[in-house]
Amino acid sequence: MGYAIETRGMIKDYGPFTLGPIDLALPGGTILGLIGENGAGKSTLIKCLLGIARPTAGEARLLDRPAPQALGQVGYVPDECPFSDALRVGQVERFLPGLFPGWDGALFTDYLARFDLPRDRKVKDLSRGMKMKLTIAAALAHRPRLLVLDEATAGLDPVARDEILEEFLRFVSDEDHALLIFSHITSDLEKLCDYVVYLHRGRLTVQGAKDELLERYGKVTCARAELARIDPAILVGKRAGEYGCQALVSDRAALRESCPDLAVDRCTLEDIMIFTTRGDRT
Amino acid sequence: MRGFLKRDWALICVNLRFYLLFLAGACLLAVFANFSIGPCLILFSVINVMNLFAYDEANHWMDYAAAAPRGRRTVVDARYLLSLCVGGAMAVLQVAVERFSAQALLHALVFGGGYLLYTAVVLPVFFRFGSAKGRMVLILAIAALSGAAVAAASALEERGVHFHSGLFFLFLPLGVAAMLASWPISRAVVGRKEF
Repeated sequence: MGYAIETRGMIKDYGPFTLGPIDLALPGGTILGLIGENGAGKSTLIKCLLGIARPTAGEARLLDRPAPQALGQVGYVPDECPFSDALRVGQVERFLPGLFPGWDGALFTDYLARFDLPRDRKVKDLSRGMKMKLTIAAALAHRPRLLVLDEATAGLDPVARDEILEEFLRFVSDEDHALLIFSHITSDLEKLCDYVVYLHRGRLTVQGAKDELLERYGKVTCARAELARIDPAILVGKRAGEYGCQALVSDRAALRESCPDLAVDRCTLEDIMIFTTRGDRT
Repeated sequence: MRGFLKRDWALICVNLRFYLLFLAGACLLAVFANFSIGPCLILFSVINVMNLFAYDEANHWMDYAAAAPRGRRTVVDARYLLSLCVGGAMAVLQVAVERFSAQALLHALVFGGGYLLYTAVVLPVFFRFGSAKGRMVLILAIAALSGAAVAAASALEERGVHFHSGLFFLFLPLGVAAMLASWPISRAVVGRKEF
């Protein structure tokens, strides 16, 4: 498998909001996490990738094919359960095989048992976590090669989240599989992802291998006067408090060289997101 | 297409008990009182189809369908097929309620044609605008179609043509033609639509 997802100069122009240009390449056997604040364009990006919306410019390819031709091998988990509240789980089970060509009924049955989803229960009587598990089971049961998840772990308790994250790791253990996950829960992405992309106001602001990013970026805690010594080229953002300041730098090693007396710690994806969005650079 | 068809049918069946009660009441009225069941069946069938769009919107079903292989076209095809099945079932019911007479067959064809006309308007409009705006368009369509039908019937009666036979020749071919035109329009609407 070449790239599970590949976009070149993809732009979606809605007038007041423009997404892109987006250049992404996700190799097979890996997990890409996408973070971004509300309204950053995450849902637009997912819609353009899956052909639900059409890019204004550029192109998106999934599994080495134009997106619409690859949909049979893509499992999509939207942020809300797409199955009507009025239906029972068993009714959902009956119509899903007609939607996806590679449907594996036995696998779906296995997921229903594993996720403890009773067939006679109406969708409206399922908790948010159970609805999400039903949607994930539907996405996995047609044996996709690429799984696209939009806020799949939002609103789940830690145990359910852990269970689902484990399922994703099992899915991607096959090198022919890849996973794209959009989430606000950065701790989940830190556990799960190989690559991370940060989308800010429609643009890819930070992207790279997660371990490399977390190794490279650093958080500095210092006095206000000491902030002026940090090279503006590596300063991502700073926040001044009553008792001191915090700053995020994009190159921990460079800071250690230029300001060896400043204490610089490892940061989290949440730090990168907050400092990029709300941090002051001036 | 089977998947989309089964899903839509399952949603229609959700209210099956209420529908059966409603139909039983209408049938009793038709059998024992001077009540024409035809308009009632048209309304019932069209509402059934319209309800599916409300279910779609509640769960962003069309987004999900668009992300399924060949989902955009198939979701349209399934809905047209189901609409025809619902209309066919209602026509059979009408013939049965009117005791399989020749007039019953004529009524079924007339009201079947009317149903096809309404459905041919409803489906592309609902696919394009969703259920809220779609309902407004439907009200306008009912007003326009009813007005046109009354005017046509009056004109025909003035010329000595029987009311039903006039409608029969007008509604059924118009309904079939409208459905044939409506189907590719809906396909194009959904094919281009961004969800």
